Amino acid sequence: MLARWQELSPLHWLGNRELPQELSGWFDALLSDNRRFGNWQFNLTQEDDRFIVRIALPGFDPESIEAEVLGDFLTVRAERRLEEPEEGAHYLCRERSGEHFEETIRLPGKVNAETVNARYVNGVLTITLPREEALKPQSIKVEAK
Amino acid sequence: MKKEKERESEVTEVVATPEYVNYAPPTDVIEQDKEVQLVMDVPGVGSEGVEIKVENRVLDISAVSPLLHRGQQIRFIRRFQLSDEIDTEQISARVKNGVLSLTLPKRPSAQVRKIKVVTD
Repeated sequence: MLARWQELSPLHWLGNRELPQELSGWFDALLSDNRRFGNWQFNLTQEDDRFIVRIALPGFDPESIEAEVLGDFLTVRAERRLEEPEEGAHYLCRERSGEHFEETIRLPGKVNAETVNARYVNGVLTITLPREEALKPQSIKVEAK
Repeated sequence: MKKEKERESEVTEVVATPEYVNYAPPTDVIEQDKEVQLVMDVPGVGSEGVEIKVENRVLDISAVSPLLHRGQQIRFIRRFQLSDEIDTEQISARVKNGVLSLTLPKRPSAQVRKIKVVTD
């Protein structure tokens, strides 16, 4: 019926709570002062006035997506239903997995929870977290004598 | 003098083509009586980014996502060899929330026909 051709190795999906190898250094990176870390499916970018968290969540239910900020922790939860094969149907190949997504990350700084903005477009969740005013980099005038 | 300089810069301007990094998306393949379905996770992809071709019974799927890996855009690609049972003219596709679904109908002769058994 359908034969595989030029297969690349299957992708280990984030949603089943096991971190893939490439992410195992992710939390270590959080402690260092990187402006951008993660991978293309789950990353955080640090700008002067905001943090941007981008998470690939294909096929998730937009109504189920929850994002919470507590102090400098961001928690994201989302659910999706994978197809149930109907009667008489069977899988020739099943690579997609993960119906429950939940991750808590520590942001590199404090944010203004009131102005956090989240958008889910084409299966990608983008969360923009404006940094608290007092913690933006402040220029210090250096006097030299 | 100034005009000539402007023309020079126009000529030397080069339009760079975007570099992609290829990635095989996780795919479910479900066979049913009348059709085969393909479901692929392609986060970031909208309908404009998808290219589906069938040539010599090879189904070639390619979808470009705005997601970046080390500064390069992700291009999801996957290829499948199709048997004669698939009616390639009737293949349809839709994409929603970053999931691409293809329906590959089987030719009528290839569809499962349930045979009713009667007893005396």
